[in-house]
Amino acid sequence: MRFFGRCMKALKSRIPDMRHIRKNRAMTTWSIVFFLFFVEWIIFPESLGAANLQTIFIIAIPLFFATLAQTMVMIVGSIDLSIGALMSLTTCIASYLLVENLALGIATLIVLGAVVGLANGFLVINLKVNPFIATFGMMFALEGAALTIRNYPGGAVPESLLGIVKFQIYSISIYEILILILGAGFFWFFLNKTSSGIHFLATGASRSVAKNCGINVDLVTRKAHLICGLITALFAGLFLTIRFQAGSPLVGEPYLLFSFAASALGATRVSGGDADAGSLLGAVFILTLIENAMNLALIDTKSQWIIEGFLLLVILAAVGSSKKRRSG
Amino acid sequence: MSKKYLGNELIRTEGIEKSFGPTKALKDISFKALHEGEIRGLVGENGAGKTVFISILAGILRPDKGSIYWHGKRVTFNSPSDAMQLGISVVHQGTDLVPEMSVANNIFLGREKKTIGRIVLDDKKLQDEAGRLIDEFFGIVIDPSLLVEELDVVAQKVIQVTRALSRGTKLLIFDEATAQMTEKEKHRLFYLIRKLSNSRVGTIFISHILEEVLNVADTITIFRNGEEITTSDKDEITLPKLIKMMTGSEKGLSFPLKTTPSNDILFSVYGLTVGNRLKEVSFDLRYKEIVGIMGLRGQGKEDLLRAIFGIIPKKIEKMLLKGKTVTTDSPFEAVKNKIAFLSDKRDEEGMFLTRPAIENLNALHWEVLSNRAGIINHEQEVSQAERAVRKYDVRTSSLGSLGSSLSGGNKQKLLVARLALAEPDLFLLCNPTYGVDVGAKNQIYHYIAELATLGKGVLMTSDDINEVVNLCHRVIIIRNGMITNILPATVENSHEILREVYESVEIKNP
Repeated sequence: MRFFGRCMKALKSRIPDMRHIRKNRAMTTWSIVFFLFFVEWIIFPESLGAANLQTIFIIAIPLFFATLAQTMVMIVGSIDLSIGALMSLTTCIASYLLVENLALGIATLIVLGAVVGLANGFLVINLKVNPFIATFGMMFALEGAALTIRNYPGGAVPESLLGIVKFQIYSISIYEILILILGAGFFWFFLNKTSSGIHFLATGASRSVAKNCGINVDLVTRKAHLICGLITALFAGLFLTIRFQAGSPLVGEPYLLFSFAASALGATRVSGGDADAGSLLGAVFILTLIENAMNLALIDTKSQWIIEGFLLLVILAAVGSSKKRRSG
Repeated sequence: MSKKYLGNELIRTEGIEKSFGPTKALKDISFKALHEGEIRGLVGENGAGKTVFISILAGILRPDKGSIYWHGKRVTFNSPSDAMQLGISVVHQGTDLVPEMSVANNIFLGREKKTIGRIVLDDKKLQDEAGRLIDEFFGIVIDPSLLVEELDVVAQKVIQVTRALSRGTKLLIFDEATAQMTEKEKHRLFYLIRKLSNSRVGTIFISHILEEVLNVADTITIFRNGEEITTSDKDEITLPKLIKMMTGSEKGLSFPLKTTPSNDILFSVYGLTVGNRLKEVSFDLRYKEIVGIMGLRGQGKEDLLRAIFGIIPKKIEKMLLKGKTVTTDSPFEAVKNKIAFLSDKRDEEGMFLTRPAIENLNALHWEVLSNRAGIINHEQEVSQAERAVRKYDVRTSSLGSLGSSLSGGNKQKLLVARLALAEPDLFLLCNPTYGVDVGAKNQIYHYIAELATLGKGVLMTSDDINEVVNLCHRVIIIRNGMITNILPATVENSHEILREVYESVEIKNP
């Protein structure tokens, strides 16, 4: 026994300190996810059914990508308030184009995301507009555009895309799980294994220090906004269209607050410079399960908004005060 | 001068302990009673526990064990405002004044109504009151209608202290408050601090520069490794004795041997101008050479390195590095051209406080550590960081600990290591040893000397004549935005250099 202990000790001392093994970072978040799911299952036994599992993933995917997009700009110390509006606009355009010509539709979304992302970056960096103001203005412009294209919900989504979310094996939505894992995996890889990821984190951690380290912080910020726009239009918006099987000029609105809340709940440092892919995915599921439970309880949409708004504030306050305690 | 303290006991502690995780920052600190009117110097190496102890006195941290006695009565602080209400104020190296507001408004900020007894502001009345207070405490005159940004550092400290005292402060703690002052400014501040002690205020004075502490303090408390070694009268202690007790050994400053620089020019600057702060500055630097830059603060010394590195905009005729023209309109370009910069603002412009040590170490050369697709070679990253930590003696509990967890000297060593790892041709160092203890200073001197022997060029600003004459080959003197002289940096030249630095500079009195 003693020999074994000594071996372990020797082994441990040989393992180099690695920065990315910060254990248990995502543990708390995921414990809450499983706890919530357990509670939901006890109250609504039907929540484990195939139909509801599918619903959960359909809710989770657009939220995940909206959160990912928001996190991309948050890690460099910026913010994007136009995410929800861009998602709405995306659904309005996609619900026309996708059924006509899938490839053209996708290409249009890419261009849309890139244009909005580049514009946000240009406003923030080149015109030096505060990101809050810049993206707030962008939000109004995009909302206006969405209302011009579609005044009321309508349109359709091709069956081939619906197939992605409907496909299940033993009531498990394989494609959706794969998309989420790939998305989170890419994000983890970006943050931990690439020099661009480190540049993003460094820029958010301290702009002036990053500058002195020869990082082109303006370029990094513009890149972050571009990536944010692309993820929002191409993934978050597209999956939102699939979720509602239609386009609607206001459907993306709640995602502004959701993306921010999930990001903050998912260990992203609000002032920039830190994020964690595992926690982020967990936070997305926490919000998803709350929404799902309210749907199962047949709470109407308006009341849901009130409850959600209130809950999110509680969550954010909890995140804020726990950080304060840790640092104090 | 065994001064007899007429004042009552102000503060003492018994058996204060504080741990952070496994590290014991303070082990049983019984701070000997400080009396009204006494100036107590508090010294110790980086990591000795001074900052933690002060944070406990200021109510920022709570001790794990032990008690604080205020006027002989036991007190506990739950927050900084508790300590402030009792009358404890900390004066840091920076200012917490609002630069765009007047002296009077700064002193009474948030208490205007209480001071003049009504809601509608009466600037005249506030200013009269401010002027009266400054005169009462310091016996000097500062125009209370001036904006704080128009004052020099010492006057700003005076305003900070006046504000604290007008709130009923009985214990003033100066925490490295002189860190960015010149010798003259320091002496003025010390004079004013001594004046204060006449008004029965207790003072704790913390500084890394021991001569300073010996100069200003009545009694000196020495911390080592989280323990109080001794508290003794200033007259019973000498500098060597102090160093010995602080470090546990008799080491003082030790400088590496100077090597001869090459004859070839590495770097030259022609006609560098920054607004009206630097005018047409030209000089050159040879391979293997260390050149110091001296001058009083505000004379242009600070701007020179920042301008070369591209942090502040400049006009320049040309700049040659290794015989090639280089432009540095941004730090990004400068780093590309193999120029590296060490800021004197360690926490604001040097360390990523919220990122792990390993990222801080490798921050200048991720490109080298990653392949063409931008994917980092993890093994190389870790092994290189481990080697650097060992070589540069950066003491951190792990490579994953956050930048903010390192002590000042270790941060500085890490930053030097960061620069060295990136292998630039030209090092620009702003006050590389400012705010670090004797041990770390000696190490940093050796690292800088080593860089030079490896064929690099080093340009460094410094306020310490000792450091300049023992480490540098030549010294550039800057006054009024111009290079007034370039002298060989030798010990024999010390007086000559200092004379050049101080000559004909107008000094504003507070």
